[in-house]
Amino acid sequence: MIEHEAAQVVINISLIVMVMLLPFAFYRVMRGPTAADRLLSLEMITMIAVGITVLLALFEGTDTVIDTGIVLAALSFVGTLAIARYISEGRVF
Amino acid sequence: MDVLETIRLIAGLFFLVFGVVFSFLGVFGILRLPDTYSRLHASGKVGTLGVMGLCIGCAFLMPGAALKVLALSIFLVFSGPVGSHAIAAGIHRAEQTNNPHGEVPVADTSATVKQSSAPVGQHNK
Repeated sequence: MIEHEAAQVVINISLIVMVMLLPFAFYRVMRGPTAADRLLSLEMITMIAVGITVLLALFEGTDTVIDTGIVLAALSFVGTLAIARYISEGRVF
Repeated sequence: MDVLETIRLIAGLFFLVFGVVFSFLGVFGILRLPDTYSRLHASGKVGTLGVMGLCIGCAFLMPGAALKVLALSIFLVFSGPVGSHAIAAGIHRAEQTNNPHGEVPVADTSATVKQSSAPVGQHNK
């Protein structure tokens, strides 16, 4: 936990802003005209979730939450490559 | 609180605000930009600059977690542009081969300011 008061205020406001960005990104997932729009919006939602885990680690004062972010980024990378291949080739494997 | 602690605090908070601003700009761009390629350009910034800014800020504010955050940001530097390039090449190749699984990227006319501009990408149909 960071003891300074201004740091606490900035971390709280950053966490609130990052969480409030999620429904706006999900709007593009619902009404993307193509499949690629949905794919890139979902990748961006995952990246925002990774940022939220980093901010949560700052908020809680523990660094164990960052492991969740690393695993989330790795799985999102594999999924993005698979769906991009599906869009281009019509099949994954 | 000595001077070094103050500098560390200010640098950490600056990078946190940097990351949040870039994430906000990425979401704003993905809502307002008219084309799929343009939206891809906007969404690539969130993965690299936004989360990287948050990671650098976290490393400044909490030095015990600096190693994990460094691992996360190195992974993001390598995986983000590769993923964006995979999506862009996938759209382009589907557009070239008239693949029925990948649709041609059309312009979202509700996001553009002027309705009179011609939609991008419909010349292939």
